[in-house]
Amino acid sequence: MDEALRLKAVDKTFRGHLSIGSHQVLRGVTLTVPRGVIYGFLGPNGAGKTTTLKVITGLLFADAGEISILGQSVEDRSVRGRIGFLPESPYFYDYLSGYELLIFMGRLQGVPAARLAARIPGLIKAVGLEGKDRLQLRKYSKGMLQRIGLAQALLNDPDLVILDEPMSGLDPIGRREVRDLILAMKDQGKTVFFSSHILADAEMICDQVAILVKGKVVQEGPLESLLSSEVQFWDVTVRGAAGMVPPPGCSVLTRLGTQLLIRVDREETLQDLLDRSRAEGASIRAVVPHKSSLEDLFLSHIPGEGR
Amino acid sequence: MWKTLAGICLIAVLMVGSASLHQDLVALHNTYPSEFRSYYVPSSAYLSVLSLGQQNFWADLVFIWSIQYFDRYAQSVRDTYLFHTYDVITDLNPHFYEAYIFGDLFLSLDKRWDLIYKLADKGLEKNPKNWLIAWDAGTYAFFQQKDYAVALKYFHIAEERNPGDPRLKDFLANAYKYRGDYERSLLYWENLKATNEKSDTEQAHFFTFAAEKNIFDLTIKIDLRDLNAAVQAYQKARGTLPPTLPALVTAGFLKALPVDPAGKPYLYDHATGEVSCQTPFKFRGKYAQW
Amino acid sequence: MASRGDRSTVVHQITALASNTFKEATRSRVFYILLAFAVALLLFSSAMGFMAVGSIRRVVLDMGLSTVSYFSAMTAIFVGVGLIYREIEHKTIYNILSKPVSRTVFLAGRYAGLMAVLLVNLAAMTAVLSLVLAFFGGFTPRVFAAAGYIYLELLILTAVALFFSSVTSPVVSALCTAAFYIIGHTSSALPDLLVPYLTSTWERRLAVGIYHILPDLNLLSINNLVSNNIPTAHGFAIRAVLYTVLTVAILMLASALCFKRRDLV
Repeated sequence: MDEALRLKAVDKTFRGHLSIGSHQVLRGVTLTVPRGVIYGFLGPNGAGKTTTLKVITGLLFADAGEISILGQSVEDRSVRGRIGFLPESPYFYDYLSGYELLIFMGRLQGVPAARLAARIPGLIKAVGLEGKDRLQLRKYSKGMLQRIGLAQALLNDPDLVILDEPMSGLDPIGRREVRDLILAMKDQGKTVFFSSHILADAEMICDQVAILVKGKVVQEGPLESLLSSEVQFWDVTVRGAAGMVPPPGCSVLTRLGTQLLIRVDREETLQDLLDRSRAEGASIRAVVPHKSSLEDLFLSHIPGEGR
Repeated sequence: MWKTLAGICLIAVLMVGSASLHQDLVALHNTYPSEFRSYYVPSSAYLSVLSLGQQNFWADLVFIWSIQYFDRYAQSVRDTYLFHTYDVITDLNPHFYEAYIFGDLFLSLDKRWDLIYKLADKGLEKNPKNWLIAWDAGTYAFFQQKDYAVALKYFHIAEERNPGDPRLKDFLANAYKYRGDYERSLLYWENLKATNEKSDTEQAHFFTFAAEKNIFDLTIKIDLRDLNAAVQAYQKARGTLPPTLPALVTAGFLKALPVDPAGKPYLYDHATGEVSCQTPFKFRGKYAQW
Repeated sequence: MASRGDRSTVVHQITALASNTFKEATRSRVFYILLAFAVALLLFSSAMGFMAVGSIRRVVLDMGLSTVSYFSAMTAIFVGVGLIYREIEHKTIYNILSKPVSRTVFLAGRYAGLMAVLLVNLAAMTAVLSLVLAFFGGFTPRVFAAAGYIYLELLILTAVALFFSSVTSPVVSALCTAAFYIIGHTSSALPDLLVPYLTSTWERRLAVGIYHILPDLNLLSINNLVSNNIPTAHGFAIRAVLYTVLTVAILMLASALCFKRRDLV
């Protein structure tokens, strides 16, 4: 099978006490994750990303829909032996050391003791916790906890790795390290499915994304096809054109002495502006094209937030 | 650091104040009439349930509580609750031997013989092998109540459950003796002597010694009794007192003329008809009150 | 990788969960406080013994066995009610159930861990009791038998705590488990106290029937027998163990059923 994960019309409603105040969190979530890609599952807070991940890993039970993981149904418990999961803000037993935690998690995965002993040192090194694995978890920083969490998700050499907000609460160094780890996982042939609301990181590493808003997948697909390769607008910095009148279709963003920052959104207008500037004898300091970003795409789906 | 020290001093001062107030409260409490203080123990059915399965432990608790306080309560309290308390204790733990013994002890201080025997009977019924309770009850009957029929009943129960114990035989012999049943008493003394005279322990010596003395005195008493009876019979039949003791034999009122255990003949006063023994009893003074 | 139904994997999983639970419980403060109190009471029982004229040994034995009973029950309740709830509260359960671990195996592992802790606890208390008894010359090997039967009661009590812990918060669980303990020890009041007051035969039969369905934990205790030197009846041991196993099985099944499809929000 060439699909790592497939969700089809998945619904989930949380019932309040005595059926008062029930709340539908997932409304027909449908997405497909091909094998070997890095798939970003994006959405604002409260969209239902964590709920979706919990339904995939068997912590919650969907009310309707199909979920298949690596070709097996979610109801088949053994499939969880082929995936790795890192929950949001992982909490572990703080009296255990990192090493002991990995042994414990490995035994739960059913990894034989010998193989576990062989794999753990490599994993600890891969997540950058060398030398810190014998410390008690209560002494770990947030970044270290995140990394030991990644290590335990990889204990069984899974084909599909599911991560819930893997970069939350990390400093830029930590975020880069996690990004590198995810890329390394892809190099090993694993499929990575992670949820995030930090779009910059997603834009950097994702092959495909899905955007979840209020329990529905509003957009899904490869990143390249979602983001238009056309230039949306140019920002031109012109100096020494104090008296120049910009052609129509430009908007002057800032004026600093004789320096102007002008935004044009059509190529003809750009050529026009460049000609006129040269005619005035002004010098062109910079021409910066802007393509559509993931943030634009994201915000376009939030009512009231679109550009 | 001074703040910590000041805090500790303050706590110490407050504790002294609290302790003296505590003393005052205790003194106040002691002025209440003793009936006021709680003495009621709930019925054993409820206590048994309350104990959550640890009935023996709670029996011990009630027992320890009771032996601390029961001598201080007023008579009216003891009349109502003394037996009830030990009844409850022995309901919780029917094999609580000390409860029966101490219960009977306290009841004896109030001379409640009926309740003593009621508690003892309960103990004997629940503990078919126990003989100490029977012996204990018997001693109250024997020494204090002086009801030798009841004493014999309990001593017999004790002896059935613990046959061969020379102390019990001794008690039985004495009880029969005090009741005036000399023949049976004599049987027990002779048995005691026979079983103990070969043995060389201190206890055996004691019992042999006691048996010999009792046999001696009892023989005299039996003889005197028989002789007096014969004299009365002679007088009734012939109208006069017999002239001598041998006359009783020839007249057919006695089969044979006994001599005292020392071998001396019995003395007879022809004028009064009184028969006496010239050999003194082995038991004299207060020990000869039977 | 874990293959479905692999028996040795299940055993490994249960031992891993149990040893983790063991470590967690022996770091709990409540555990040590209760143990300290129990030891203090056991030593204090010798003072109580002196007050009971003539029967020091028996009072020490009574009080000792009762203390061991009461305190180990309390430990079972206090530590047991947090067994499942803490995992859910601290979200550590997400790491466990997202692995190929069946929910029943998870419950069984936590249960086994706590029973191991209680065994150590009970052994410690019994050792102290034995020392105190030996000091008074009243030691009897039956103390170990009594401890064994206390352990049977603990097996049932912990299973109850586990059941409640998987459905509700620790406070409610503690109350319900304590209620079970009290009912378990007072259900004998039904035939003894209530039935004599009932007039009609079907009322009596109903009361007796209810009594037989309710657990009677008094039946499992031999503390009273040991202190009165009465030997246990022939065939008691095997029946007591069977009764315990059946009750625990019922409770574990109920827990598994309640927990199987529970959403872990």
